[in-house]
Amino acid sequence: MYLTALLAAPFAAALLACFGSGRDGAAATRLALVLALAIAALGVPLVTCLTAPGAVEHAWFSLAGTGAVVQFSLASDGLTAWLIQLVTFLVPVGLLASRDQVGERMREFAVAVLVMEGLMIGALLSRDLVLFYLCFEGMLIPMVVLMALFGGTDRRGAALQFFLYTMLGSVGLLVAIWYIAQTLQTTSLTELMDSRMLATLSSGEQVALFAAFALAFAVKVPLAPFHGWQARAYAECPTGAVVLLSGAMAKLGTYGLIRFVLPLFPELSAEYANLFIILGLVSVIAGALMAWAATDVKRLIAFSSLSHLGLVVVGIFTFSDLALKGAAVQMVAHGISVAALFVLVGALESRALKRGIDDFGGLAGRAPILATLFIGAALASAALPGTANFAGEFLLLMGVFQPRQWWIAAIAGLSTILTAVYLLRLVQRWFYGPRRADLAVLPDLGVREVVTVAPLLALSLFFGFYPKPISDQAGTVASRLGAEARRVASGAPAPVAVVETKDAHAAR
Amino acid sequence: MNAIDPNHVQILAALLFALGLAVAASRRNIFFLLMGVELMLNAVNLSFVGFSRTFAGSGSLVGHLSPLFIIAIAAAEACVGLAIVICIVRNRDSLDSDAYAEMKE
Amino acid sequence: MYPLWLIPVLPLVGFIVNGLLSLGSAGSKRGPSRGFVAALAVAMPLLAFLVTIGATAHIWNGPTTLPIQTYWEWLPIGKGLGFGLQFDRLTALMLLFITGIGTLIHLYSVGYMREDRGFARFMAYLNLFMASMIILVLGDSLPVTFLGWEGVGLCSYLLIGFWHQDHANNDAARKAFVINRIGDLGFLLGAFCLYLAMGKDASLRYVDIADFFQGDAGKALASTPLIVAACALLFLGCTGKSAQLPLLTWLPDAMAGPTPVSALIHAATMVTSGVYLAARLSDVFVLAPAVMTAITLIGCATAVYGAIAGLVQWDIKKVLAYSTVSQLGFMFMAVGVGAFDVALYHVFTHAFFKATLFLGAGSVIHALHHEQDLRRMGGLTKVLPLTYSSMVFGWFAIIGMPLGSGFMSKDLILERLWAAPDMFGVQVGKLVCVVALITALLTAIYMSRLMYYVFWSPSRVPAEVKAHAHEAPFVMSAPVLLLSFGSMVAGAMWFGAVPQINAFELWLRPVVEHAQGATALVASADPHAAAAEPHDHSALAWAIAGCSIAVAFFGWLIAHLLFRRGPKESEPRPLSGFAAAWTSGLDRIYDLVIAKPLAALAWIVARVIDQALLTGVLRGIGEVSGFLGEGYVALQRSRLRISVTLSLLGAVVVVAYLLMPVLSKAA
Repeated sequence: MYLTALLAAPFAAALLACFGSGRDGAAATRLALVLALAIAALGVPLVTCLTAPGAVEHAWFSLAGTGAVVQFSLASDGLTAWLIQLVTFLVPVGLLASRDQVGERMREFAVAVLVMEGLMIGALLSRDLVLFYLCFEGMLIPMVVLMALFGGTDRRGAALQFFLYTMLGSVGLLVAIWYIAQTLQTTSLTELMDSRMLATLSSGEQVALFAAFALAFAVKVPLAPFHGWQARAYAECPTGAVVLLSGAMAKLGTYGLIRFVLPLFPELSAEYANLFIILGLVSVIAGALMAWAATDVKRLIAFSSLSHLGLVVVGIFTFSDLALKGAAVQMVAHGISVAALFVLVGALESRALKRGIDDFGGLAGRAPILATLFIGAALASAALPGTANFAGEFLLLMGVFQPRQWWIAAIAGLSTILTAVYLLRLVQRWFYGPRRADLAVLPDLGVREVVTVAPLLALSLFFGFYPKPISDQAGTVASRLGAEARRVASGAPAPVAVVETKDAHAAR
Repeated sequence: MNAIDPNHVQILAALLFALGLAVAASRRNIFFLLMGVELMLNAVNLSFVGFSRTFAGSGSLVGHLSPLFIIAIAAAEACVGLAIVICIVRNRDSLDSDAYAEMKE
Repeated sequence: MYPLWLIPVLPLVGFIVNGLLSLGSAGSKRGPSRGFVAALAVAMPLLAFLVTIGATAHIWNGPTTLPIQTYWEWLPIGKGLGFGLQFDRLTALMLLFITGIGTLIHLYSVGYMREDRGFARFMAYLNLFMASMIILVLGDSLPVTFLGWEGVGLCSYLLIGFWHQDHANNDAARKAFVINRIGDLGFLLGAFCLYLAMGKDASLRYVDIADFFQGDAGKALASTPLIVAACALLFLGCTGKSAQLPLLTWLPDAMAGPTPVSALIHAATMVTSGVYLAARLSDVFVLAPAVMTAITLIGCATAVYGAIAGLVQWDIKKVLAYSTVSQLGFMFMAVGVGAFDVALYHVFTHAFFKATLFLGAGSVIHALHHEQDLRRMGGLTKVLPLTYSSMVFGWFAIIGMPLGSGFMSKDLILERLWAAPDMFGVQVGKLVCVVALITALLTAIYMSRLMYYVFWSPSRVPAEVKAHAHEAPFVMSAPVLLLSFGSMVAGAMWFGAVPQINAFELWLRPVVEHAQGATALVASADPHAAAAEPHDHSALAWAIAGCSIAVAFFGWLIAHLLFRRGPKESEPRPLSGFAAAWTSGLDRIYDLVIAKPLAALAWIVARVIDQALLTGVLRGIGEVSGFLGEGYVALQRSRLRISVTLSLLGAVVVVAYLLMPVLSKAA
């Protein structure tokens, strides 16, 4: 009941937001904000209540041509709960942050954002493959709409590229789900996990399915070399949308890896772990180097996101308990810090209409509040101890460190040095140095903007010193989901495995 | 009356068909296109009749009736075609089929 | 339960309040009330000092450590790593001089930075630094120490680049932060190695580490690859923070910050964190003799490097910066031979005399209106009497004049070096001792050079500057005087030649005795050392004392002969020739070997691989589909005749296909 309500709430809110004023941007913003905060409040009991909310499961429709019945299956555990918190708290931030860019068309913007929020929550809650796919792909549509309608100069091309690229990546997932439905007669995640039916398929089939699942999520994160869509899409997105895209949507890729790939394909995950670790390391280093070379600051942050999430992928495919806990913490932490960075860059861009690294200088004198908050966000992104990003990265690095493969942690650790290099370079170019005469008057951050960013930084500090809720709730779930892969990778003998067919499972 | 060699009839039909095809494909004037189509249809009629004469029997009835249908339909099609041609000529003021290539924009 | 948490929280409160005041008054012309800001900023470290004294009183007689206080669970490592603070004798020692000297330097800053528009911001940063440094030494586990470790790195960045209108300062700040980060990576990896080595008893808390490595399980791990790696990596962290080779290039550049910053951070406190860490993990380090040897050699090389560099500098602060590098080298030489308490003693005395020298230099700079070049100083004894007397005491201490504090601690280092056991069959200790003596000679020479050029040589100060030059206000000269007094008196804590005067050693004994006992054990295995007897030891101490006194006087004499008339050149020029090569050589090597290749790699990845290749592939795919589409459109949009022909041909093909079975059967 509660979960269905939580899923339906954003859609209801989107409907209500349609009645907002189409001409008065401020009124539309207020309405949308109230609705978004209400949804956020609705989602809080997921992490504060001790008992898990009741799972929802009933038959929905039968998939034509396969004989499988798609379940409308929702459930929440620690990992889902915390990512939902991330989504629901970033939506009001995104709405507020886009106020300047979007202006009078706030109503349309808010409706699209709320629909996207609903689909993201659906993807996080769903425990059925088809339902997940519907939400996972569905959330592309409002995102593309947001990009194409409200974005920058190259928005049409960027939106199209983003859409096609992601769609292409997920097409394999669609085929794989259909195939599973046909051969195994089920699309329920819990059923597939418990009964280990996937192990009955031939190894060729399993590899193909594994590749399809992994590809879809690898494009979403993104993981090098599938990052081609990211820089352009992030750069052309309006502030509110990019906050959600980088802060929440990217995490759905890593979430998918932990929730689907690791538990459903433990042997293959262990077998191909090295491949993903290497791709993750390539993301880390290449992302950092490209961020260093970038001149457009939104692209810079996009590449830094590539770098940080590459580390998360490395951690996931190490399967160790600490690394998966670190991945869970870092997912939330990175969402907060990257959102803060994008909001601040957006604030500056809406004032000066440019965002190149050489376009500003000496801003600390003119706009000290902006400078302070930006340096704070940059330091959070650079995993300064005391921020949530440090907690995540420390656990990740520690979990990844193994004596025989020490170079993985060493290369991954290089990201801490490189992040400091390019972020401090940005800070220096923009905020320090002599006051530039060619810059027009740039007012400092107003109350609304401070209220948008300061809570994010405060949360980052809070979870930096007290990441326990996240690591206890989300981290243990992630660790449990990776347990089978961990066991396979370490070569421990399997417990007596009972591989059931669908009939036996149904007969129980 | 001497029996006409069935093969000759078919060859004639084929030749007529080829002529019609050549006309329809190569002439630019729309009326010639329509004339070529008519010629092709009539060639087919001839072919039907030739076959029905050759294979006398129960199946030969088809060979007599089909050309009747085809003539009727060809007449209808010619009417419609001419009507369309009149309409579009009003637009472009030309009977050259090449002028109508851009209509598909 | 003693409120240890007050000690870091008090300066933190000062940071928050002053920081908010500074932000809030950003629009105003003068900024927040200077009096309030100053009072708050100085009161906080002072209160922290008083709380520290209270805590020390608890462990003065009786228990050598307060019970560890864990406040909440921080990281889910093992059974859960808590955020804890511990207070044992080592922490007490470090905290006393951090908060004590820190308070004095805060007071000095009130006078030095008073006229600056960013005064509140400066004091806020200083308070944040205090809080971070306090957490560094109070932490009960490696992650908590790391929190303080990076915190001081952050404050160092903020304070070096305090006058951020000038990009030279910002570059120096960034360099410091990045180089520190390289060391920090070593710290982290070393901590992980340590954790793995401990197996199922793994923990990152110091008490657990000490228990483990003092026990048999730990001792069995001596010289295993994991332990050697752990120690080497942790030492890399120390080189970053304490400016040893190869990560020392940030310290001279850090002089771009205001002088109180140089005094507090880059002389007295932050740079000693490396020595603190080594002492804290002494039980681990002694299990890797190869690394210890390396530490001694690196310390020695750094000391020599710093001394030679100090000889050729013309900027007064740079001379002191390289002197700090050199003295830190001494500290690590002691660490390397397992004499942790001696190293800490030198930390203690160095804090006093280096802070004196830096603050005194600051007063000189302040008096001469921000003149920092030695070529424009001279003859300032009558002009700045208080500053002069303080700096004389500081000079006296650093060059190792008899009974000065520097003499006491340096002698102990030399003693331990000489008596060190052989490492790998080579008498490394004795070799290093000789080099250290030569370095002490160089130290005497360049520090005396400094004194001659600033005070004892004829004045080269321009007339208009000299007219306005006056002694520093009381709020500045008082701390310097106090510190100079300290630099003389601190030597009374431990006199190597007179075994009865060893209060310092006794104080630290519970913390380091086990590790030092381990090295002594190795020494007693050495047949030659077994013959050492107490009065031999005393004889060695007096011999070394005699040598170092001779060296000090000799150095002064050489300086007197060479520098008493002042420099030959009177116009400031940038460094050239050997001086430039020696000082910026390392920077150039790093630029060539690391920075430029990295930039090239970044360019390759960004422009070539990403833009050209990958994006090109994407665009190519788009172009291909576009091309195919256009082709198909052309097909559809062709002339009428072509359409007709094609459709008829198509019909023929279809019919033929359908008739194929019939035709083949007929054939």
